[in-house]
Amino acid sequence: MFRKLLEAFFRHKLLVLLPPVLIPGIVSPIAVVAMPPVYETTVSVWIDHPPLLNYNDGSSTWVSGVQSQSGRLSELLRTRAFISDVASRTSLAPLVGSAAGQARLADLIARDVSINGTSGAATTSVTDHLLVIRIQANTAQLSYELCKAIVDAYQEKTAADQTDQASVAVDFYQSQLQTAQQQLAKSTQDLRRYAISVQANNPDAAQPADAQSGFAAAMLDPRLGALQSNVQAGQLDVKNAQANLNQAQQSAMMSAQGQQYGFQVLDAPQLPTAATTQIKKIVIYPIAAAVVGLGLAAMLLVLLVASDRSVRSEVDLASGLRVLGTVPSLQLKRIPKKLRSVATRRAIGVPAGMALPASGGTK
Amino acid sequence: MNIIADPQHHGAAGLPPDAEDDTATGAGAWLRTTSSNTDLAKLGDVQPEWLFKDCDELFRGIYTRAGTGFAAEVLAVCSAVVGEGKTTVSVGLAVSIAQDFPDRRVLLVETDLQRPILADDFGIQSSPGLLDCLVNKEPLLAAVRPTFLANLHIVPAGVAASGRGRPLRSSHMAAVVDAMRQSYDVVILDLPAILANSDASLLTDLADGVICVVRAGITPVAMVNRAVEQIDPSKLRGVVINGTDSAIPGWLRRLAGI
Repeated sequence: MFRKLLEAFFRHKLLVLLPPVLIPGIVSPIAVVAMPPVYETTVSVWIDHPPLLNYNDGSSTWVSGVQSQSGRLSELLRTRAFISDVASRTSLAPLVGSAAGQARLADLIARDVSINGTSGAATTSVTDHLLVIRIQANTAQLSYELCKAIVDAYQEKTAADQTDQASVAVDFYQSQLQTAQQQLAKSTQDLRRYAISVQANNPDAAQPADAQSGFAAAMLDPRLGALQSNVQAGQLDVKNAQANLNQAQQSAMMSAQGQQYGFQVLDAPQLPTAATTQIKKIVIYPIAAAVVGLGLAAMLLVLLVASDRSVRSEVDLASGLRVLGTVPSLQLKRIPKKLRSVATRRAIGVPAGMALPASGGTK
Repeated sequence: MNIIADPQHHGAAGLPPDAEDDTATGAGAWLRTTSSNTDLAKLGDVQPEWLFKDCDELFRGIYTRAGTGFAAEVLAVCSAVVGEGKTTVSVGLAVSIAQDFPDRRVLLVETDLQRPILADDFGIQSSPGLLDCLVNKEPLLAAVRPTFLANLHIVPAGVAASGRGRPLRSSHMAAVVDAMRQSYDVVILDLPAILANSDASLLTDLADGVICVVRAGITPVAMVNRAVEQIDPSKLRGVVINGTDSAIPGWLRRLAGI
């Protein structure tokens, strides 16, 4: 079979090689000419964790800031809400209202947005600090608008998220502080009432002069001791709640300010002035065409072999037929093709006196 | 060995007797052969001397495997359709046997009356030929022509004429073949194509053995099978595949071991 394929290939090499040569030859110029111009806008963002600011920005020891941020951005770009937010800041805003428009926007983002060299929402970061976002669009304006909108929307969303988290934390610790303060006020009130009632029942009892004598009095009066320890616990709760509140407020402030350092736009998006050469697409089309051509050539080769019912060697003959020998064709290049069989016969018969044909074609 | 100009095979002038006559009568056909140096030069890259050295061994192998040579017999060479190289193989076998067995007389008979080519190949007059023997009852001797090889003679088909019926089917054909058997050790009948001319299968009955020629890359297997079905299996010596050539470059064949 391998021999038959080889034979068919070399026998019909022009025909077999036609598809892999012709198809890329036709497809490539058409693809290059028909390819719409693409404008690309790039924004470079420096991702860093400010070492002097101790706050939680969502990063971990195991992934770099770039990986963390690019991951967040990629995931956001898969959400309809974020895409709508981005689109509403651009000339694509009319698409936001409809489901079809949403789908088109999602396709557009997935195809045209590249984060650190990876298209769509998938990300692979190879750098530690630099996050590069590329936007390709059919018009320079759209490319610029999309790029700017994505960065703005991302920054705003991140800031809003942190603000929301901080306000939730501050509210929580404020309510805790309030509860602790109320508890402390109640405990203090109880102690004061008890002290007044004791003094009213026993006017001769002297007020404790100092803490030592107060402790001794408490040791003598268990109720007084319990009220005093309630007051002390309440004071401790208030102190802890106050500390937590201060910490939350500080973190919120640092997060808001630290975000500016952690996500610094170094190269702001600029309106592209010329279309980008799409090397990848220019290369891909001829390669794809060549692959298709090769597939067609392979099919053609198989068809040629399958449709060849002629006898070419012993194996093609019915079993039982004995082959006495094979007479090869003579390579009589200078003899006209129609005279080659005559020339062969006469060359074989020359010893018996056969006349050879002249190369001019006369017998 | 210069086969063409070997005086051992040829007459004093290097020509068969009637060839000299043809030259004298102005036919000029044999002159082409005798002045073959000019024609050979025109062949360019093919030198018949070395060509025939290879072909000689090739046809020697064919007739050996066909069991021909030592025994006296009539060997028919046929094919399924026209243009498969029957005459080429017939000529090759005849020349090879005649050269290998100088003491045995070999006769090559052209029986394809519709496409006679032997006379033209040898540059001799077509008539008288086999047809004249069959129709006009000419003696066989009149149709037999000598060649450059002393023990090889040929019988051309003769001039075909319309309205003569099917001479090959006449009973006289068997008598002619018998006469050939009497005079020659090996008779090679160059038959018409079996599927194109039904006379061919009748003629195979007159032969002791049949060789079927198949043109490589042209003749469909089905046609070969149909042709072979018309030949008595006991007489079929085998198949010769003619015109085999591989399109695969030599270096690739060596590399792939095919």
